[in-house]
Amino acid sequence: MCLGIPMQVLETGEFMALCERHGERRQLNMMLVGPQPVGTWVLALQDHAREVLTPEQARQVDQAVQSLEAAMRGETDLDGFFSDLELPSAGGPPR
Amino acid sequence: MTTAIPAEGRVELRIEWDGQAVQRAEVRSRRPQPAALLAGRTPEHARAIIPRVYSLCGDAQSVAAEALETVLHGDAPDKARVADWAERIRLENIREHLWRLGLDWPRVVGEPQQPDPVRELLAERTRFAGDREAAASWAGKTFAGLFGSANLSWLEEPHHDSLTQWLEAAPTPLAALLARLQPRLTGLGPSGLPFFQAGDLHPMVQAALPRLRSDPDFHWRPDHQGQVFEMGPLARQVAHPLIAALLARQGVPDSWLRVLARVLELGGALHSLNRGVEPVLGLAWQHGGNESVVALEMVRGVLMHWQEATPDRIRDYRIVAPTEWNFHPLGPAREGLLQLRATDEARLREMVTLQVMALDPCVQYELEILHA
Repeated sequence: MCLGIPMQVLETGEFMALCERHGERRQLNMMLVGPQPVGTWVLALQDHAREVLTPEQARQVDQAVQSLEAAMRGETDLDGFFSDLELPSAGGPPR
Repeated sequence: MTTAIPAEGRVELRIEWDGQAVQRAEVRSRRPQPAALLAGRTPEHARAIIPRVYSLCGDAQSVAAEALETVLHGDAPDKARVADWAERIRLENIREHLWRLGLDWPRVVGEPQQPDPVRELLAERTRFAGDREAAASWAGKTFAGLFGSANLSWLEEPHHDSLTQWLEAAPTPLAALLARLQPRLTGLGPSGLPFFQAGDLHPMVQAALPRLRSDPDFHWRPDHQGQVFEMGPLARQVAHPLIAALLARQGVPDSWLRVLARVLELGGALHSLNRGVEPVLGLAWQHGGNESVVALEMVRGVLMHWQEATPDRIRDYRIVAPTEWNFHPLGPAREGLLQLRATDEARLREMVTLQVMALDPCVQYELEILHA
């Protein structure tokens, strides 16, 4: 279950681009998506940009990944990561 | 080396090496599970959340979540729905094979990468799912670019000589790539474990339902009737005439056969898409009490989703990914690691990379070498 990580282009290039997510920077191979302007969101798989994301898609995927990271840290209040969904509370066991 | 983002998850490989050979090998997979995200939510929310989390193999994960929601109340999915799922999975499988053979493997051996087929499929996948004619045309063009027009009898027959001739002539970038890979992968990563077969799917799902309920670690260390299996393209292609002939000749599978199986599967999928042949999805489910489990064949092997739920809320949700079989503590990855022979640590690391990529190219791993 490898996860795609949304990253934002900081410095553009024809084949490689410096991208960032929450301070984590990677040089991504842009072969599949072509050169992209600074500020573009891409879905990163390991060292490749796999596809261009809209800001809204990037936000949704990023929050989902953050929720998984929060769960791995033992946090239980995860509703804020899915703010666009009308969620029932996930805090307690179902009735 | 790319820094790990925690949620990406990594498999840990630890080997004990005496300067000549690997003496011990441990494989540990502790990758994130979605239970904490989904417990207490509705099945509809699970269907919305899962593809966001698993955005890369999103079709397989989404289909599994959709199928699980469908069978929650004991209902069987209708034929049109299954046909739609099968087409999504077929296109995702093709994309993954093109990615590995066109981008990952060329980078490893210094051959030019071939991004165009992947790029085209990523751009057109929504259209292809509904426009069979466009998909067929693209598949025909892509097949020709990968395989050329030489004698391709090895794609359907046990004609090893025609494969050898194709590799030596190297009429396409794929042939040139495979000609370079064959000597490096032959004999690497042997495993004596059985292959998971299509006929195992229903019995495994039936057996997994009570196991997932009673064993909180089942999704980390799955088995079926006490047996660990190898999953993925080679397991699915083991009855292919060429693979069967090569397996009979060499006795055990290796990394070369795993890559060759991927090539055969890609060729077969493009051919069937080009000819308008309906894809068949390996799919099984089981429902009992408050629990349901769904298993489907995706590119890397069997993906299983299980949930325990009240009528409107999820109590627990677990995913058993194919990686948990291939990188099981007693699985084929460990079997292959135990057979590694190298007198140079850099060479040892390279062999591990090749072996892991052949078994499951999606997996990110950390390798620790202990000097015995």
